[in-house]
Amino acid sequence: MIKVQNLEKSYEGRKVLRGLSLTVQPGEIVALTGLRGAGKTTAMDIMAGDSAADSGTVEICGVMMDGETSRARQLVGYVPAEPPAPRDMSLRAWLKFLADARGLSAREASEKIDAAVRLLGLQDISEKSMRGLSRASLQLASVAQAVFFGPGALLIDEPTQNLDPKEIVALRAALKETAKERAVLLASTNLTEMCALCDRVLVLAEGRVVSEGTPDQLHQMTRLADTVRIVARADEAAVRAALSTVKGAEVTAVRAGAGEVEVDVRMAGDQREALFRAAAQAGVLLLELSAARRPLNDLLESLTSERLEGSREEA
Amino acid sequence: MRAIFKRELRALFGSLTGWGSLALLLAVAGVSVFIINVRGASPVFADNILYLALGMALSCGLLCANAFPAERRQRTERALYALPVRSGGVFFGKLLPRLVVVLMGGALLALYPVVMSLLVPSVSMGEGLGGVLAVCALGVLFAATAVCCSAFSRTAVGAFIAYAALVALSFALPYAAPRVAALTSLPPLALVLMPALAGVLAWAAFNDVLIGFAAAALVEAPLLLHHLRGTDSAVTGFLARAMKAAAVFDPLSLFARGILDVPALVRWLSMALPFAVAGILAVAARREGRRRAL
Repeated sequence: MIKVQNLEKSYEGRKVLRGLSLTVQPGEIVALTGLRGAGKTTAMDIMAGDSAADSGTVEICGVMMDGETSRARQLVGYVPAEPPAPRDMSLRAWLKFLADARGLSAREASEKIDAAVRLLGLQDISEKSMRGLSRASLQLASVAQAVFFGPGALLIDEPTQNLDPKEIVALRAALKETAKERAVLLASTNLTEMCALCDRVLVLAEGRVVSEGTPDQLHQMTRLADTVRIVARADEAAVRAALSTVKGAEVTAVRAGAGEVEVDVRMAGDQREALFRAAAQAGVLLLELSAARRPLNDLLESLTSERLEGSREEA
Repeated sequence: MRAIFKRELRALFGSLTGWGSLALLLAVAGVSVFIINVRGASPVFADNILYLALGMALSCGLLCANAFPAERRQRTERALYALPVRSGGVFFGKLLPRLVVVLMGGALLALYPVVMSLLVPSVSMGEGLGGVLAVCALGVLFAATAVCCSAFSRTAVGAFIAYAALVALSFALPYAAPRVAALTSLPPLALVLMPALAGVLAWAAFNDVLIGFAAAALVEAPLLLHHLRGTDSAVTGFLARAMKAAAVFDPLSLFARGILDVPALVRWLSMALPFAVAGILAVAARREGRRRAL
């Protein structure tokens, strides 16, 4: 379990973390998202024991990071945004070294290394020197290392950067498997990918959590309450004519192509039924009628700015 | 520690570092023997000892300065410090493989007097081997100093500069000692500028304000002491003894004359201990996350 309470950190007079608190239970994958400079990497560094907080506590599986840093560090597998790249060593040799240093027997080490390599699908590159690996491979190798040596918690900063879609799918499967036994915390600016990977998402802004929810709850928040999206098989003029009969409906965007037209209609209140009837009366064939949504990553920006404005007003 | 030792040893001989350091030491020895023994027609191998010691100093700097900065560069520092190994284990895991290289260099150097004594009966093998022993003991001190500098430093270049400054200071001390009386007539401005310069250089090498202050204080203390109490024989005697103790190249002249100066050997080896302790403390501080960006 990862338990963080009232974490504060300043760099050169600038407050980077302002009372950050969060808890990640074993078996849970949680995302810490936010725009650049929100404090994600600083928080991850502190949770991994690589940096000290000005105040506040970090507890990893019941071990306080501040009092027993060495012991707590041994419970955390951390993958920083810049993954480690030991030169002149293969991934297998590097993992073998780490296993030897931890006193694992050769057989136990070999089994664990095989499992970690298989989990991330790194069989093809596990014997190659890490000097020549791509950044994506290094990233996955680093995750394998963290999975191997982080028995209590796994922290990954920007887990999907450098990865292609196939690798993201492999990572997702590996994280689901890994999270069965430990708490997993990911930090990223990409809310869309985090919603696909995580059970819960925390939005960080100016060093504190400004919003929190499950991916479903966040998807609900992307819904634009006053806008409906219509896809119709008709020409644009016919659609516009049909919609003009609905009182208060205003076409805000039109995308036409391949015999279909997609229209965003802003209106006061829920007038979906009126829109449907108007289209039917005009002989316009409706293929879709749904609430319009904004992209998830836009939500991150709006959540950040809304909450910050709110907190400034309160202050 | 054994795992770190094995990894380091493999890395040293899997790259140019280990072989390059040995080659450098042998090259210095070869040139020195050629000039002094072959062209100079001297049957005394120990005449080379100062050059061998300087070669060893340079070789140790190249061998050890990168010990800890390499981990930072490869971003493996965290994995290393998260291992369930004591800080002393991490430090000695880095130092001992380098001492293996130093001792291998010593063994190769020992071949010179052995071969020379077999070819030329007038060459004393014992004297030569005594000199090689002295160079090896100095090598242990140099390696401990350089690994200590690398444990404090952020970059290999910074570590090498700091290490080179310490070696150069030690080399220059016997020449500076007779002029120590001039310290009493130093203008007050010099008492400020000299420590400031030392502080800035140390800060630049280690990127750490505290180390800069420590270096400035180390320079300032004897300057001020001598400036204020230069006529006091206790003070001048203390400073002279301190300078003599720090002048590690000084006892080499005895070895060159064929004398096996055992106290000097013991002194060199015991001088390595404070550097080892300082290096372990630097590793411990980093592990605890107190001084992440030294």
